[in-house]
Amino acid sequence: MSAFLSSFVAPIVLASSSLADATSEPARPATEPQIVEQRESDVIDSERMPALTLAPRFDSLRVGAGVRLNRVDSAGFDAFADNDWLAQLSLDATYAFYTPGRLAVASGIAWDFGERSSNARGQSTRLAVHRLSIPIEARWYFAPWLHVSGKVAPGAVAYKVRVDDASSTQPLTRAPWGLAVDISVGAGVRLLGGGKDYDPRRGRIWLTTELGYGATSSADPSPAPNRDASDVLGSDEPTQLRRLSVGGAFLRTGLALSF
Amino acid sequence: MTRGAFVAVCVFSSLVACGARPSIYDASIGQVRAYGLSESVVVVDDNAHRAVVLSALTDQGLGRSALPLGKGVLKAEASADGQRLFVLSRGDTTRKRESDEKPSLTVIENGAARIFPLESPHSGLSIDPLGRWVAIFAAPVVTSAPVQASFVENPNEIVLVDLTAPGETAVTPRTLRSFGGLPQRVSFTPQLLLPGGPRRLMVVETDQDVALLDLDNVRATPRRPEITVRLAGGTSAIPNRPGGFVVDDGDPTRNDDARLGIRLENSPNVVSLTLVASALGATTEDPSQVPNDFRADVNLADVGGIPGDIVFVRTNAGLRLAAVVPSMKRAVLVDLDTSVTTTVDLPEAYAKFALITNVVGGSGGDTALLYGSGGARGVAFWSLGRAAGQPYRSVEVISLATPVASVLDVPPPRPELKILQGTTANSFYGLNLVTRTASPLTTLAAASLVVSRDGERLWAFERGRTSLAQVSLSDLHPLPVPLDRPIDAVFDVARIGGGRSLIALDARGAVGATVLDAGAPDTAASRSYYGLLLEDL
Repeated sequence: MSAFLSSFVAPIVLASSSLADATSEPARPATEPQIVEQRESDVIDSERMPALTLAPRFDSLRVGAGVRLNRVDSAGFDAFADNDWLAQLSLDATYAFYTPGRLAVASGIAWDFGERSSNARGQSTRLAVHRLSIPIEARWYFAPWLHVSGKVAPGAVAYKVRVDDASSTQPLTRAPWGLAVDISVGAGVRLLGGGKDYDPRRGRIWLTTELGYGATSSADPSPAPNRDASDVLGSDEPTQLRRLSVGGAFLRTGLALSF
Repeated sequence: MTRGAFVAVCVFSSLVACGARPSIYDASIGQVRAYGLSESVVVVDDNAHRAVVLSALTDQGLGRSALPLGKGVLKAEASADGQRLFVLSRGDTTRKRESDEKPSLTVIENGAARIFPLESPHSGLSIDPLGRWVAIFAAPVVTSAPVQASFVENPNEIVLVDLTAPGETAVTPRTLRSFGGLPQRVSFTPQLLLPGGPRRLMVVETDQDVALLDLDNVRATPRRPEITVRLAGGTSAIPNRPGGFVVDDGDPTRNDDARLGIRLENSPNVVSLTLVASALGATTEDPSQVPNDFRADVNLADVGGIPGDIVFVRTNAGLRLAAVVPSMKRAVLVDLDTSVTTTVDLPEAYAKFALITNVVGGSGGDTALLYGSGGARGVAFWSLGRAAGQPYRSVEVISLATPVASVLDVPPPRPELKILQGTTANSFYGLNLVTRTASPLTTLAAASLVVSRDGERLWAFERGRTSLAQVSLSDLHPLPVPLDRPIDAVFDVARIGGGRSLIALDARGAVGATVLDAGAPDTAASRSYYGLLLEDL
């Protein structure tokens, strides 16, 4: 990890000193009127300025929406889906709170929601998965329009289980919780809202994609009839389904708005 | 990398293959068949190729486990003592790989499954009441039975499985010599003292003859043939069809008086076979075989009408074969040595016998219970200790409002009780054989009855409804225990850790169950279970 950070820090230092050099000259105040013959080489031409000597502009706030496609290896998932994939709507909002040079470190909140339904042996089943996490993301800007990122997102996952079994007058339901953490790498490319890096704050639209692995603790999904206590004869026992988790590799692609 | 190429990579990586789940999740549940064993209930989950074993735990808990079964269950049957469940499976119809299944017999016992591979599928099963043998054969074709198990089947091939033998010697196929008959029933005798020593026999009733096979020499070399007793009349092309047999070992000190009595379904004759020593110098038709050390002497007796049931009885005049003839309202005693018959007129057209001597005793002979649904109201006690001398005084009638369709035995400690179930009315009776009283119990609807294996209680329920009641067999006190779900079957099983539990099965959907303490049923303390066939997939 330290080597990883060092590789970020070295170019940041260089970029910061370049920025100081580039900005000091235009900011120098004139103490007295002077007539100086202008030479062609003295004219500052921003169009000809090498881009690498300039610090990129970081948009502090970013909100994103996308699709997360999660491969689920858990055997407990089979009762709710006829394949191993869980597609989720993925929303997040982050704030870049640390922006040295080309690096931006951001954090915020993210919510992934997905649902699968199926038939298990002819009985209708449904699983809704909510994942609430706190992403901590480091972005490295190769260019003002392209960045790569690494992200860790600890959080919690909620499973909402429902089985409609004819042996019960009420649906069998349960909503257990578990812990979750995502580790991913990704990249973003700016689609709209370009302009120069020194332009004032404005909205920019990015296409982002991530590839990673999400780990979740397994939970006991065993559902039982959600009957009013006064209706229950003795006690209702849960149907012992296999333990469930939605951990596995995932791909997330979406659009983000930064400003 | 250009922006366009980057976007293309993102889209491509989204198009990935999908993993499929195990096919068991897509198997429908189908018809639920449940079998009660002494300590568990086995639900045959045919489409999932497994048996789900439900065990009663303390505090109305329900243990669930699954055992593998062969594919395509053709028949399942529990042994009378509730120790084993036998399941015949077809296997994979077309075996494409070495791993594909052959036909098999699965024996479930003590929560474990033992599988015997078979060469061909069969749909008929007969279980030795003493627990050693199982006979597998082609079930006779009747309307309600499954269709033939394979394209070509030899009905006279009987596959014997010795449950006490090691795997490689356990299965013995035997093809019976046939005169055109098709086996209808296969049965096992208790041990008989025959001229060659103590033997057990397998009795195969076809639709026109009876075959006897010496089980103790079934794997002997050279082979011993079965003994076939042809029942066809010599002058008639219509075969006599056996309708059941009874067996008696005779005098325990003699080895030449063991007898079989055979009832014919379409003839007023009863047949008795006496198993005596084979003749000196006897040979077999097949020179590669050796003769049995016994043979069957055949006797016929006309009882005046088609008998409904037969039984060997001991009277004050000796051993007799008793036949009850409902069409004549009479019982007939046949002297096995002379074929002389004694007729006893009966007040009703009783069609069935049950010997109850071991419960009520008998003065100089057996005591039989007579009952039957063929228009006979009530039951009668037949004291055979005086049947030969004063037959008109030997019958005592207990008149009931309805004919008796079936008689349920009550295990010890209350063998003196019989539960009589009527044919149509919403009632049943607790018959005390000792006091000769019949206590009626009425129901609001036709009730299914289950007697617990410990002889302490009876369960009555309305199939497909919520009505359930426990009847204590000590005082016939009914206790209503209505549930909140339909009941398809109830099983009174021994609980792990002591006591007994009632498992009431709800066959809807993925099968549910309600568990009560059988000894003190209280719905407030019951536990309900759901989706049992969704578990452990």
